[in-house]
Amino acid sequence: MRSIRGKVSGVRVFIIVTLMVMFAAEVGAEETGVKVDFHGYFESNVILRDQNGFQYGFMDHLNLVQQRNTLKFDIDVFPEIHWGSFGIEKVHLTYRGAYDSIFDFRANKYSNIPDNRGGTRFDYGLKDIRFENDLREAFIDFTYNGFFGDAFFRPGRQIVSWGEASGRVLLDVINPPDNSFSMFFQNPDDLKIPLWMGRLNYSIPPQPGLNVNFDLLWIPDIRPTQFAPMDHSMEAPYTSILFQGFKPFNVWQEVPTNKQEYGAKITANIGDKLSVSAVYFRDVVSDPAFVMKDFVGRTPTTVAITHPTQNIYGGYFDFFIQPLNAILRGEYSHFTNFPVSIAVPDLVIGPGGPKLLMFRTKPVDKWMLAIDKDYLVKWLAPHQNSNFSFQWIHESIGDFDSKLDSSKTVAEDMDLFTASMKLVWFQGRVIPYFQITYVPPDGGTVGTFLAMPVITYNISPSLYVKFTSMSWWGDKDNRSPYSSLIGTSEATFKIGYQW
Amino acid sequence: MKIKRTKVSVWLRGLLFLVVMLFWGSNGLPAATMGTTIDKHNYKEYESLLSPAMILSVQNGDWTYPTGNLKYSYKHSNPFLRASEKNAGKFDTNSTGWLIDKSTGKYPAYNVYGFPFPQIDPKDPKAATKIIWNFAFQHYRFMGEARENVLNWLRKHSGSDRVVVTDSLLLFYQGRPPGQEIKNNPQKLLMSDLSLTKAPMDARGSNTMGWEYLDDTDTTVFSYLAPIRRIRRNSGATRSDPYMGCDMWADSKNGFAGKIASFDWKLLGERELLVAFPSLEKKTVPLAPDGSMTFSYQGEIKFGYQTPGWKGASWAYTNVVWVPRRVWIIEGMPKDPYYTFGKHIFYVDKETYTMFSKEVYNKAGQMWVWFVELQGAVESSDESKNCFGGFIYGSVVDLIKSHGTAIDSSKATIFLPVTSLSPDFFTTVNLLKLSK
Repeated sequence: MRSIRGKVSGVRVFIIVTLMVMFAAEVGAEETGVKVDFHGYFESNVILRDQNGFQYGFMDHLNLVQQRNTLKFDIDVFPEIHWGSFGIEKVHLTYRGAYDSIFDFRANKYSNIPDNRGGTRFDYGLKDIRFENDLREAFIDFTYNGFFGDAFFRPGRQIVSWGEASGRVLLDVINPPDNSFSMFFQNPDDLKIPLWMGRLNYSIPPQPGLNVNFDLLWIPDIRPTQFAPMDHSMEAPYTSILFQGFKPFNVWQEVPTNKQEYGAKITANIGDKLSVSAVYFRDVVSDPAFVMKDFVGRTPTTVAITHPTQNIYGGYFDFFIQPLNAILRGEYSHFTNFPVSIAVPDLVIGPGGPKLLMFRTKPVDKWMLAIDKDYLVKWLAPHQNSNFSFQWIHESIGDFDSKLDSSKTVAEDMDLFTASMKLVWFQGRVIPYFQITYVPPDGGTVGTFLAMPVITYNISPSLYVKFTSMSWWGDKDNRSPYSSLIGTSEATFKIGYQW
Repeated sequence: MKIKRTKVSVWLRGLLFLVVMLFWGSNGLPAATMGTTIDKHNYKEYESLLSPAMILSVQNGDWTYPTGNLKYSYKHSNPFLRASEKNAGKFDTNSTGWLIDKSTGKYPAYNVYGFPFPQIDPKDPKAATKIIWNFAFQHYRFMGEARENVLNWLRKHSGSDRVVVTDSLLLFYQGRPPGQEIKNNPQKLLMSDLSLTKAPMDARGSNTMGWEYLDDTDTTVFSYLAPIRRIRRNSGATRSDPYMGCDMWADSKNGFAGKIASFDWKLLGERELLVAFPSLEKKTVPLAPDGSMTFSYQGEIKFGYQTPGWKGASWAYTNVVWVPRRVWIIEGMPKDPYYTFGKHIFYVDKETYTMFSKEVYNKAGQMWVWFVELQGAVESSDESKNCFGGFIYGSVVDLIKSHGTAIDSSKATIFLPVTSLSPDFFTTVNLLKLSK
C-alpha cells in the first residue's frame, strides 16, 4: 500500500512539475521574449518475443515481454545573452518517464525479481525497470564567436557520439548503452545513457579549403552498460536471454566510479568533399568483464561485473565521390585493453582471495568501410530517391591465444556486413526501413543474420504507429557474438502521439 | 447651332470612352471586372490572364481568383534601382550560364549590388539567363534572412497529413548593399544555409547545412542526424529529391534555388498574368537598429484546409488577391540527366524580377507540379527597404497525384547585417551546437 501511495504520489509530483515547467516556459517566453521550444512524444509499445526464434517456427512460442508507456520531451530555452563575443545560447533539458505495465499484468511471472536488490545504483531491481523517471539531458551552451574562431562549452548531462560506424562500437564509446529494456539495434538516441560531462568544442576561423575543429571531453560520471536485474531468478525480459548461466551466483556491478574518462577529437573538413577526424579516448570499458569470486570452499558465490580501463586511438573519414554521387565513410579504432571472454576462466590468487577471471584483456583493432548512395528505384519508390547504405566492419583480436580459441563466441577475426535501405512512400506518410546484418560462418555452416524491418505510418501530424521486427537467424554453432541470440526474435508494435 | 453642339459632345464622349477602354484594357482587366472573382463558371472570359495550371485548377473548382489592382507601387527601393542602372553594360553570361564581368570574362570577384542586367533585350539569345540572374540578385539584396517555415502535407479535400516546422537561415555573399559586403570569403561561397527542424518530435534536431559555391562545384551538404547524434555528409547533387516526401524539393525553394548554370534557359515571351498578393495594401514596419526588417503574416493568409466551408482544394489560397502583372515567360531545362523533372516554366515579373509561379513538367511532357508563390508586401517606414520579391507563402501542387504542400514562411527577418548573421554561423561546430 505504502509503495502504491508512493507511486501515486510520484506520478502526481511528475504531472505537477511538468505542468509548471510548461507554464513557466510559456510565461517566460511571452514576458521576456526569450524563445522556448517544447516538444515531445507519448508512446505506448508492446513487444512480443518468439522464444525459439522465427527460424524455428514463425511466432509459434510467443511471450509478451513488454508493455511500456513512455513520455519524453525536450525543452530548449534560448536566452540570447551576450557579452561581446561570449554568450549563453541554449539551455536544454530532456526528460523521459516510463512505466512498463508488463510487471503488473504478469506479476506472477516476475514475482521473484526483488524490487530493490541493494548493491550499487547500477544493480537494478524490479522497480528500476518497471518505472523510469529520468532527467536524461540537462546542459547549457556557453559560446564564443569572435576573432579566434567559434566555440561552445557544454557542461551537463548529455550524449556525445563520435565515429561513423553503426551497429558495432568502434569509436562511439562515450555513452554506454542501456540494455535493461531493449535489445541492441534500437534507436541509438533512446538506447544511450547520457553522462555528466564537460564538453569543449572549438573551431579555428575558416581557412581557404580548410576547417579545423577540436572536441574535448572530460567525464567524471562513470557508468557501465546497464543491464536489467541480474538476480537469482534471471527472469527480467532482457536478462533471461543472456545471463541464465549466472542464476546461482550473486551478480553485482563493480564500477570504478572514482576514475575519470577524457578524450579529444580533431576534425578537418578539407576542400568541399573530405572530412577527416583523429580520436583519442581514455576509456573505462562499459562492457562487462566478469570475475567470479567470494569462494565458499571451491565454489565462487559472486560474479562481479568489472570494467577495466584502456586507451582508444583511432580516426574516421567521409568523402563525397562526385562521379558516383555517393558518400564513402571509414573508421578505425585500436583498443589497448579490451576484455575478451574466455570459456575456461583464469584463476588468479590475490589479496582478496582467489578469483576466476572470465576474460582476458587484449588489444583489439576494428575497421569499418561504408558507402551511402541515394538511388531512384522506381518499383520501390517511384517519385523519390531511396537511401541505400552498405557497411563492412572487420574486427581483429591481437595476441590471440589458445584459451580464446576455445571460446564459442570469440573469433580472432570477425567480419560483419550490414546493408540498409530507407524508403519514403505516400509523401512521407509511410516510411519503411530495412536492415540486414550478416556475420560469415566461423566454426559453423552458415553465418549469423539479423533481419530488421521497420515501418512507420504517420496517421496524422501528431499520431503515428510503428512496427519493428528484430530476428536472428543462422547457425548457433557459429563463432559470433550474436549466435546466442538466434533463439530470440522480437516484434514491437508502437503507437505514439507527438507535438 | 444646337445640332452642331450635340455632334461635338457625342464625338467627345466617344473619344473619352475609347481612352478609358485603352487605359483599362492595357491592364487586361476591364474596369467593370476589378474585384471580380474568377471561378469555374466565368474563367473562360479571363483565360488571357491565366496560366495553363491556373486554368486547369479553376476549371476543376480547386481554386478561385479574386481579382484587384494594387494600391501601391510594387517596385524595388530607389537605392537598389539606382545601383542597377549603374550596372548597365558591365556584365554578361558565359556559355555555361554563369554571370561574368565583361572586362575580365570571369565571375565578378567583388560585390555586385542591383540587377546585373537592368535592361533586357527580348531578342538577346541570353535574355532568359539574364532574367534569372536578375531574379537571383533581387533576392541576394536581403543579405541574410531568418525564417520560420511551416510545411503542411495536404490531400485534396482533407486536413493536414503531416506538419514539419523548421527555422531556416540564409546568408548571401553576393548582391549585398554597399557597406555590407563580406570581404573574407576564403571558401568562395555564393550562399550558405542552415535548416533546423523544430517539430515534430521524430524529426526534431535533424538539421542540415549547405555551402553553395561560386562555380560548378556541387553544394556541400552536412546533415545532423538526431537519432545517432552525428554530422553526416550528404550528396549535394540530389537537388530534385522531394523534401521529406513532400511536394517541394531543394531547387524549388523561393521559386528557384538551384545553380543557374545547372539549367538551360530560354525566353518564351511575355504576357499579362494574374499573380497572387496578400492584399491590395502594403504593410509598413520600422527597421531594427541593425537595419534588419522583421515582419509576419502568420495567421493572416488562409489555405483551403483552414477555411470552413471551402469546397475547393485544401492547398488553394482562399483570401489572397490576384493582381495583373506583366511577366516574362522563361523555360528552364535541367542539364542533369538524372534530375527528377523535365521542363520548368517560370513566370517572372518584368519590373521587379519576382518569381510568381512556375509549372514543372515530367520528362514525358506532362504538367506535374504547379508552384504558386505569394510575395510579401512590406516596406520600411522610411521606404529605404522592402521585402518585395521575397517569398512568404507557397502552394506546391502535384497535379498528377492530386496532392499538395502548403508552405508558410511568412515570419521572417531579412536584411540581417554580417554583425547579426555572419559566415562563421555556417560551420559544422555551429551545426553541432544548434542541434541536439
